Amino acid sequence: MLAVTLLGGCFGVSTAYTSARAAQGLGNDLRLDTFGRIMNLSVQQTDHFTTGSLINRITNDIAMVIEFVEQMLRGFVRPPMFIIGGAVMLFLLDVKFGLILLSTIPVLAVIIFLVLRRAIPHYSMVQQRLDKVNSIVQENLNGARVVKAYVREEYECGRFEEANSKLKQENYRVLKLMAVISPVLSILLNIAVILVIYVGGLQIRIEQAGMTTGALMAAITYMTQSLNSVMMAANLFQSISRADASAARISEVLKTEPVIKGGSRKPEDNSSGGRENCVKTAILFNNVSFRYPGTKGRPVLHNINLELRKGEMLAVIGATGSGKSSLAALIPRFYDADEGEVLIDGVPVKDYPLEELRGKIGYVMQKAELFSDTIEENIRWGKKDADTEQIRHAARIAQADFILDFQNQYDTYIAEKGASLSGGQKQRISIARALVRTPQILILDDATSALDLVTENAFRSALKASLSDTTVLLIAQRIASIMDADRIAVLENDGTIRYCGKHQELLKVSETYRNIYDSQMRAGVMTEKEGR
Amino acid sequence: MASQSKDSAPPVVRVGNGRGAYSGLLSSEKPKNTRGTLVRLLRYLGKSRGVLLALLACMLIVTGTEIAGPMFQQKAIDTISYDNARLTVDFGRMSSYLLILLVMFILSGMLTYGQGVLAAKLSQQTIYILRRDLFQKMEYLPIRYIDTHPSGDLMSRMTNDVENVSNAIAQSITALFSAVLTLTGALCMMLYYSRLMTGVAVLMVLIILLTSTRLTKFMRKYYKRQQVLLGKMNGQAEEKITGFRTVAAYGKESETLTRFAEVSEDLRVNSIRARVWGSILGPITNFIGNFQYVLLAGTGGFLMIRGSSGMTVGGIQAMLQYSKKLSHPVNMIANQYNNILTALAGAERIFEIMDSPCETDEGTMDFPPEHVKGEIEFQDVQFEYTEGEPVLRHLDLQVKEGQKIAVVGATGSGKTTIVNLLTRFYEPSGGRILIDGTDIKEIPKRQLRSAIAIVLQDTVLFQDSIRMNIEFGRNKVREEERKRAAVTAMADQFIERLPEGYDTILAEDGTNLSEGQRQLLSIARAVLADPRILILDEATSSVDTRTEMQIQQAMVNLMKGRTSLVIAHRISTIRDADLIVVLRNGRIAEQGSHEELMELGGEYYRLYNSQFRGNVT
Repeated sequence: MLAVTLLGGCFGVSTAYTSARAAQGLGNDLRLDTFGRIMNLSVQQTDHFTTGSLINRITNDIAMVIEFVEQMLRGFVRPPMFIIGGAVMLFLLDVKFGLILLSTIPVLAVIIFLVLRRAIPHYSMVQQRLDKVNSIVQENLNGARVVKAYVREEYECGRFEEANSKLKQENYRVLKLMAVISPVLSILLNIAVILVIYVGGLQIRIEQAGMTTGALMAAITYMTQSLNSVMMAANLFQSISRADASAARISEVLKTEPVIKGGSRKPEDNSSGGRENCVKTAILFNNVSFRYPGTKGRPVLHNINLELRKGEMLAVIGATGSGKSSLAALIPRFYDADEGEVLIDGVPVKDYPLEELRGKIGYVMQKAELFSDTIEENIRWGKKDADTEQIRHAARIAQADFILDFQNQYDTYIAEKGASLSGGQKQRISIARALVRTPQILILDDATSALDLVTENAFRSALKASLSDTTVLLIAQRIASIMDADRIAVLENDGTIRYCGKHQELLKVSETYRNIYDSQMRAGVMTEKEGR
Repeated sequence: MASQSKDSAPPVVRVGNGRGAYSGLLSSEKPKNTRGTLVRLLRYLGKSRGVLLALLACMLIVTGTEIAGPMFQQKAIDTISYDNARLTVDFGRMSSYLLILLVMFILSGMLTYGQGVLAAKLSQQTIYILRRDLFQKMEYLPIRYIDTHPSGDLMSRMTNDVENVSNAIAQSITALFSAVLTLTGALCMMLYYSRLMTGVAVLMVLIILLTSTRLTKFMRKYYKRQQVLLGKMNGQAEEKITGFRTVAAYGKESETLTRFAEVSEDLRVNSIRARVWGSILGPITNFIGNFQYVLLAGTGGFLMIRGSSGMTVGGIQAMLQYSKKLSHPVNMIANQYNNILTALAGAERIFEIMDSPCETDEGTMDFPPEHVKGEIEFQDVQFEYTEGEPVLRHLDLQVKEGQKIAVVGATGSGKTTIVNLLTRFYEPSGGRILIDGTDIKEIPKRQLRSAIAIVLQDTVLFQDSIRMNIEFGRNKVREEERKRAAVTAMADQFIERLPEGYDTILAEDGTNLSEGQRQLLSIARAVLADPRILILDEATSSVDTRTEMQIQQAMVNLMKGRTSLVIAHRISTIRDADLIVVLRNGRIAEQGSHEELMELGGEYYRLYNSQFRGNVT
């Protein structure tokens, strides 16, 4: 007995080790594959999944799968072995014992199955109710001022009361259902043991049967073990359904093929017709139409024909925000046009390998995305091998001299997505990041919205002075920011560009432009924004 | 807190540590005052007294049958004996014992079900009460508390901590109690059968206990490290996926992946270690348990052979079963111990909120909102969020009934603070504020706030229908009233164009409406509330031109006939105001009409011109 026990212990430990290794290894592989896949998806595809859900999948879902795999590996051998092994031993002891087991198992299994089937749909209901309760709390924390100002504390308590009660009821319902399983198992198990003793007693009366008390005791133990294993198997099944949902979400990502793949044009290729235009035209939009994937109705961009000459600063202004940003997003191929094509240096953007294409562009968004690292490293993202002087130079043009006022200057660590920096400071660092690569094309998508006009002006002058060869696409909401661009394109409500020219011209010919001018300059917006 | 501008925000108190998504197996949180918190928590349980007592009764009976079971089994087996070297059985007696057992087990089974149902009822009821009390408390917390505590932390207490306590009550407490009962009963029975064997069993159990606690302490270090690495990996994933456009724009996909892979590998290696050490506990406990089995069987056999203690085969069987009933609860208690500690730590954090003082209201005067005329006066008002850093100094301002005042000034000059003081979200440290000649401290907050409506910079709407959101400030609203308010606020048009119109439910993050539309809704809400005094904190975020014009018109409509205090950014609002007040460093630097202030050539003149670079006319 002792030896068997010892052996069991050793193998128990090794099981733990091997299953942990397997599960963690699987988890690691899954994480890398999923993350790698996400990195290669197009912006459109990641938007479709939503960042929140993607993050959840990499963290929670994979963790769930790891836990499940480990549990399974450690546990899936035991129950069947105990059940089969137990059955065999019982039969060996006495056929009748085996029969008792064989008749009990199906009954138990059916009951467990029925209960689980009824309970599982309620689990998601519970989750929903819990979400509702939590979101009311969130709303009240965020909107505390509004709740108090409108004297709605009691009303909100009432709203919460309803959600709270519903949660209580639903939870109770589920727990009540699940409460059936344990007693049923107990009763069945105990009845089985009683039967074993009864049958054993009967057999003892028949002397030829050869029943001994030792055999009887062994039978009791085997019966108990086997029936408990049925219970363990049921637990495993429960885990399967939970893990299954997570696994499905992970494979959804893995199965998605990246939609935007780079072209295969080599840098030396020169399409014959493009050569002369190369010198003058940096970017050309040729009959471009675009509509957000999955939306119907009017396209955001419609029949756009726009040319940006090399070294020119072209501004785009318009009624709604989304059209202008999409125009810019087509250039580095965050999205692909539905109709028409976009050409850079006479070559369709789709022909460039993605790395080369994006290497020509410095893209600055309104909401600056910075990462937890030093300021210097963040700027260095623009150019991997940039030296200190280049980084300082770029920051200067971007009017980011405030960095020198920090205690650690460029070595200052930006934590948690730049929470300690103001909006304007983040924007300027983001601009520096784009500038450090001295890009061929610079896209500023409302990138100076948090800066005041004086600073913005200084930036544009510095830009013109240092990067005069760069073609700049400037998108802004404030007319004051774009008035002195080389040319201004006006994006209409229907997604077309009807007028493109200098400021004074547009005031005369474009009604849309005039409206924007009036609403801002006559009745504009006055704020003390950030300067130096 | 969204609505506070950076410079004039109150300082944030660093409280506790945020709980991540993985409150792991060995989260080693210990409550500061275990006994006190436990008692308080138990008092909550006590609120469902009836259920609690019924549950205890059930548990007693069930445990009783569980304890009696092996004894009857022993008696049944002992009807087998040797008679003249031949195995016989007193079948009649055996059958009667078996019958008793059958009845007992069926009864026990039914009561166990009852126990489960009652436990469920108890836990759900208790948690319901806890949640309700916590929410009610939260609603009446002063704004200062909410501004000074990170919202993530508050949120975590209301959700994570409540859930942990809920789970603890649902599982741990009942399991614990039943374990203690079983333990006691089993011990008694074992002593009845054989003191020697009991000694052996107890010794082994103590060995198991010691081993587990030692191992757990050792494992803790690995689990801590795992948590840290997990946090690191999650942080990276979150950052790079949220900032995906930047990663793509700079072609940093493979570099990002490499960095991620490093952390992931670290996590993998460490997790294996943690898991292995964690899972060693099981097999080792099993081994010792099996060893105990062997020892007991051996001791029992020895006793039986010696014959002096009356040990029988049935007795050995019973002892073996009882020993399991001894070690199982001990295991259970050890397992639950950590869960309960963590839950208590959570309960402590919850009680911390509940112990915070509510918003006070000393106002006693009756001040019906309908009769408010709308004269406001600030008399030498001073205010500071933190001691030694005054935001408002000696502010004197008089607003006549129905006047429109535009407040302008640099960030941090104290504009938002005026809103906070007028609505009594905060109290001035000096001076007083009067409405219609009455000090607002004497007006009950309900009435004061009913007379004032605010429209904030960051629009706050609720995940409810548009109809409910507009009607937020009032109790019973007729359909025409609501419609009229929406029309006044220039919102009716876009609402009617929505597929579900006024019944459209607003999405959680407000994505089904544009920012401009949300602003219009919050204006509609203020219109319907029909206040005598209006406070507008104009948004500065850019909105498309068409909606911008609608918002401007809606604001004009809203302000008609009311005393309006506008923290203004729009030039149209400022120029239309009856009086422009320029704040600087907490004082009024200049006041007057637009023309007067431009002539002065001072602060206002400077601010106004910084808006335009080129020619205006």
